[in-house]
This record gives sequence, structure tokens and C-alpha cells, in this order.
Amino acid sequence: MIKDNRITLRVWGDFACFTRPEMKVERVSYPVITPSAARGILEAVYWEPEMYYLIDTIHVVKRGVWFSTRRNEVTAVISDKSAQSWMNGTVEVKPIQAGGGAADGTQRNMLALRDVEYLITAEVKLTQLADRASCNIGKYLGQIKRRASSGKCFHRPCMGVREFDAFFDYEEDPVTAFDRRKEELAATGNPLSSIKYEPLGLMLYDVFDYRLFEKGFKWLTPEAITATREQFEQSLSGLKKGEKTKRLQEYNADPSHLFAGKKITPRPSFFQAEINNNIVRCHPDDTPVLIQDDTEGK
Amino acid sequence: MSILTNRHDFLLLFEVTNGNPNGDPDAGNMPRIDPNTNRGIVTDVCLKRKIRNFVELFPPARESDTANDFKILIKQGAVIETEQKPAITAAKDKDNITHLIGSSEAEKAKNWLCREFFDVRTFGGVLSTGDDIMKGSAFGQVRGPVQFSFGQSVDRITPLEISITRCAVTAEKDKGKERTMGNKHIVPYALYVAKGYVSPSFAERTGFTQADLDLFFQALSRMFEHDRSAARGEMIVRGIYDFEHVGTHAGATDEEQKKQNLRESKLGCAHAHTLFEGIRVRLKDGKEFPESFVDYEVVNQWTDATLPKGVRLHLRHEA
Repeated sequence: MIKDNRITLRVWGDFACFTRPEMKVERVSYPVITPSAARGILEAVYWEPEMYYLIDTIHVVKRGVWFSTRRNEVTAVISDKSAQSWMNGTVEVKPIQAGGGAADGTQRNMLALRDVEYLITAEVKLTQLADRASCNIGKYLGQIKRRASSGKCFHRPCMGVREFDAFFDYEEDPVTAFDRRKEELAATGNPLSSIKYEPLGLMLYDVFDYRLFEKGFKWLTPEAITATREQFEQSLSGLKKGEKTKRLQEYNADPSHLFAGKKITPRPSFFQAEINNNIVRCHPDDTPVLIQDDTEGK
Repeated sequence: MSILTNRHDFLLLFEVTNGNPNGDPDAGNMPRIDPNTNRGIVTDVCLKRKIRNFVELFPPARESDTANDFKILIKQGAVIETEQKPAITAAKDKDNITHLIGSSEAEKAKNWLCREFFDVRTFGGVLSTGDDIMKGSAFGQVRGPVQFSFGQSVDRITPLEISITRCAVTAEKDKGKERTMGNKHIVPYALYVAKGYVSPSFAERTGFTQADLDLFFQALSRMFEHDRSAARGEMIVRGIYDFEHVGTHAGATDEEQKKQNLRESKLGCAHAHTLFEGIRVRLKDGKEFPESFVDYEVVNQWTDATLPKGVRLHLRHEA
């Protein structure tokens, strides 16, 4: 029985790194999963442009232990401008030289977690793109349940970074699941870490403004793009040639004909996180989310 | 060649004898070890490096100028500096790039990178983009279909520090000494397990084909053979258990069922953890410390009858 459009997934993995934005060169993880990482896991399993997730609660089953590792990483990124000149043959391809001591490589440390397990409960909501009668919430809830309980996923979910793979399973109810896991873990001699109260401080809520999720976003198919372009060209038929070219240029320069909904740019938001009886509450209705002012850059 | 359509989850078993599979720069190049469990670790980047080096050594012939090529973009710095390799030449022939599709130059360039470089197509990469349309969009980051986890040893490891005499001195000032002492670290014996995943959803975007996957598994089973070093001791692949999600309607002729099967094989037909749990690796009774692979028992509980419907198991190490 799905209550209040809320679904729960049990996720676990050998390693996890939920990078703090203030320390992302030498990565340092938050002590527990962030709501945006939890959203990423759910979206790896199931996502449609007509719906979105708001993470409601996170039950910490295994909080894990700290673990540090230093690896060779690549510092260089491929700029699209150089890729274009390589492609056109005007400039010779310059490979990236990786490895410690090489020009494009460096050693970086990572402070991560080992052996974690969470119960992620999320509210499923419809976006404004769900304008057809067939887009009812029950359909999406059913889909998520079928996918998660049979192990299907769009791509392999991860615990913050892609090399830390995550396993998942569907749970009917987080409270029952938590109690069950508590018993199961007690039997293994490695009991669940009981956390009565622990303030975690300011924690990343999401890299996007969650209030804009309800607008929805999807890239249009090439057929749909051609169709709208043809329609637009027809609407210009009465105009003079110069005016027509100008309007067409404007149309092409504006990317909004390529997608439906709203393309949102990253804008970090934070919340005061705390663990109460192993639960982190993070639904925006319960916990105020602090969003960076959007007047910047306008 | 066709784009990969089926999901794969695989387990890689490999062993080291008297060598250092992956040094830890934080601990004077001692073999990586998790101090909480004393289990050894091999990073994902270490394994990916070996795949890249293998493909660079044995690139398959390109089928045509517009087909996938097998160049490697991220190279091991040291190798480049010592060896004069022929420079990579870009597709100078304009005809070869007009076949690329994309709604913008940046997208075309992304598709070109994926087509030319095996490692970009397989593991992905980060593009920096000045293009406003692309900024913050999915084109700025190429997510590759193949994903590796950290490899972990099955049991605790005991790294040893070995002192050696070097008859070739490194520093000019030591010339008179003729030989100096050095040291290296070894793991006497350890068996490691790493998990890997191939997501067809990303294969569609990077143009990763079934042929690329076959090459990947070939590289995986032979990578250590071309990576010999005194420091690494003897490293051998002991198992590649590749679970392929073929779909429950594999081989169907009905159009509707075919479509359904395509969706199913892409999303998968079973939990990856259930499949992995069916391959159990444990020390044989009476053994406390492993000394060689014979001390281990690899129990594969999966048979054609017990495997979840729509999943096939390939033992890639036997090929």
C-alpha cells in the first residue's frame, strides 16, 4: 500500500562519497547521503519528464566508517573548442597525459565512507508536462515499484561517485523495513548504529532549485523539432526576405525550440541537517531549504 | 556494428602472487589496504588504466573511416615521453565528419570524440564547454556505459616490505657505491574481486557497440599479461562472470514482443546483487591464510535452470 504518494527504496554499497561542495578538490564526503544523491539514485532506477521526486526522509541503517584513499586523477578537461579543431583537422590531436607526475594528472585524496545502507523515502509528484489524462500519479508509482522490486534500472545507480556502485531494492514501508534490518543486523553480530541525535550542520540539499522541478524538462525528438520549425517558417511567409532571415536567425539562436518545460541551471541550496533516531528529515515542507538568491548574474 | 542493447553486470576475480597490485601513494607505495578490515584494495582507475593500455597495444582495425576507431585519449604520461609514438592524426577528410549528426557544433564534436576514442566511448569523460546551450546540460559530461567498482580482496592481506640491493644506483653522487639498498612491497598472495556494470542507456549516447564490449572483455581477460613488472609480481585473472540481461522474450519474432524485449534487456531482468551473490568465493575448510588459488573455492550456484528468467551467464575467462 503506497501512502501519500511516498515510495521507499533500500540502497546499500561498499563505498560512498557524497562530496561537500566546499571541499571538492580533495573530496570529503558528508557523513550521510545528501538528498540530491538520493534523488540521483531514484532517477537512475526510474524517471520520466512527467514526474519528479522530493526526498522525504532518509533512514540511516549503516552509517559506515571513514575511509581515505589517494589516487591518480586527470585534471585536464577536453574543451569543446579543441575537440572541434581536432575534428576539422586544423590542429593535431593532443592526448591527455595521465598518471602521477604527468602534465595532466595529479594525485588527489578522497575521504569517503565504507559500508553504508539507507532507506530513502521520496514523495512522487507530477510536473507540468503531465498534461494528458494518462499521466496519473498511480501509473508512475506502479512503475517505480515494478522496476525497483525486479532490479531494473535505467543505468547503474551510484553512491555519490560512479565508481561507488549502489544496490537497491523496493520496500513497502520504511518503518517496518528499518525494524526488520535492525533485527537482521543484530543477528549478524554487526548491529545497526543507533543514532539518537546528531546535528550535521549545513548540508547540500540539491544542486538545482527544487521549486523549478515542477516545470518539468525534456528534450524534444528530432521529428518534433522539425515540425515546430516548419510551422514557424510558414508563419513567416508574408514577411519581407530580410525580416524573414532575421527572424529565422533569432529562432535558431534560441535553444528553447529544442525542449519542452524549463531548462534549469544549477543553483545550490542547503538545509540544516540532523539525525534524529536514525532519521534525516529533508522534505522542504518540514525543513526550510536555503536557496541562493537568483538575482545574481541577471 | 550494432549499438549495445543488453545490460551486463560482471564480477572480475584476479590474484596477485608476490607483488604489489596497486600501490598507495599515501603509505610509501605500500599495497592499498583498508585499515578497518585489513582487506586489500585495487582502485577503479588502476583497472581502467590497464584496459586503456591493452587497447592501445592491440587496437583492432577500423572498418571504415566513419566507423568507430580505437584510439586512446587518456594516456599514461610516462609511456609517451619515452617512446616516440606516431602522432594521432585527426580525420582530415571532410567527408568523414559530415556523417556526424548533432544539433550543434559542440554536440558534433562530442560525437566525434566518442567515435574516434575507445576510452571516451567506454568510460566517458568531462568536456568543458563555452557554449551556453550546452552549459549545465548532459552534453558537458560524457557518461560512459562501463563502470568499475574498487576491487577488494576476499580475505585480509599481509603486505611485506622487502629490501633489495640495486646494482644500478640512481643518484650521481652515489656513483662510487656501485650498489644501494632499496625496498619494495609485496602481497604474498591475495585474491581480489571487482564488480563492473555496463549500462546500455549510455551506450546509445556514446555509440558503444557489441564489438566494443567484446574487445573490452578481451582486454579484461588479458590485461595483466601485457602489464608485467617486477613490482606487480604475478597477476592472473581467475574469473570473469558476466551476467547478460537478454530479456525474457529473447528470440521472439512477434513485433510487440520484440519491442518489449528490447526494453527489458536494456533495463535488466534481475537485481545485480542477487546475481553476484550466486558466485561465492571462500577459503577451503581448514585454511586460515590463502597461499594460492587452490586454497579457494569458487562456487557458482547458477545453472541455466536456476538463473533468473532473461539472464544469461558467460564465463568470459574460459573463452
